[in-house]
Amino acid sequence: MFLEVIYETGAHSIMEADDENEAVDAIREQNRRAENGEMGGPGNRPAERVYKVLKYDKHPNDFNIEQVVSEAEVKAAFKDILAENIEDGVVHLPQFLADMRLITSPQVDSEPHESNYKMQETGELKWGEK
Amino acid sequence: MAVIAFQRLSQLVTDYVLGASGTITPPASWTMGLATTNVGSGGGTDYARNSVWSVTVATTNINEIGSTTAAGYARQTIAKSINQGAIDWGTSTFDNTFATGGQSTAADEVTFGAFTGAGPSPNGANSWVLTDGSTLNAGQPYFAGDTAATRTYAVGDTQKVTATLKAG
Repeated sequence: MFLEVIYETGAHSIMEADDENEAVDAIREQNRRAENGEMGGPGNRPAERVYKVLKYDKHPNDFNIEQVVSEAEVKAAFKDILAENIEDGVVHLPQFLADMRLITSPQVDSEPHESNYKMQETGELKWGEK
Repeated sequence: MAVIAFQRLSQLVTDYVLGASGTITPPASWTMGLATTNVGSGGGTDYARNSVWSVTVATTNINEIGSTTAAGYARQTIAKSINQGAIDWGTSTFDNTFATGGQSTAADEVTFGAFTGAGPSPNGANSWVLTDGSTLNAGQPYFAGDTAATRTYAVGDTQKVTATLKAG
């Protein structure tokens, strides 16, 4: 299973674990260190309190990884993105194409404590007190 | 810190940017991985311009930590955008010094872990690699840098990496 760990600092990480118990032990340890002012790892950066952990069946980076999307999705995106890029009756084509390219991006521009990914999580991991 | 730009990175510039190729194209997103092997300086077991991800730790292969047992390890995503995505690339900066300058950009910092159990197998990161995809020991490597020291992970550990690319 894959997990998106969202820290109180707004940092995010993806971790892979065999099961929830394995993940919970690690997350609690990182959180314990943060509460005690300890380092987060061998790189000697401060540990961070964990805010929320989301569960996924596969790595959320795999959303549209083949960069192949349905005709309907392309048409819908084309219409919306074109509308956003029309100014005084003209379209700046490179910007329009750059925006179209983001259809296959697995990430979203999220708030600090929200998921970074388009892929829908399967649930939230209960790892302890927030 | 030893660094290297792999051939696929410059091929994206020549084929995709200069030549508008439809076959040599950027991935949907970038990912960051950690490897047991080191960039080095062109020796027989150091990285080469055509290094590939491989479980075989020999010659110039890049071997990823956690490829046998993940134990909390997974690749981290960097979006293919500038100052838009949750984790993506920064605005270009320019240093006009002829000998040492150049254009550069830094990605937002990525976080690995928390690592679980007895740590990943293999363990001990000696380099970070900008690559694509989420499958371990697979995908295209684009550029890499050595870590400051071998980083060996145990339960609860995290690791921060900030990738910077400078063309000078």
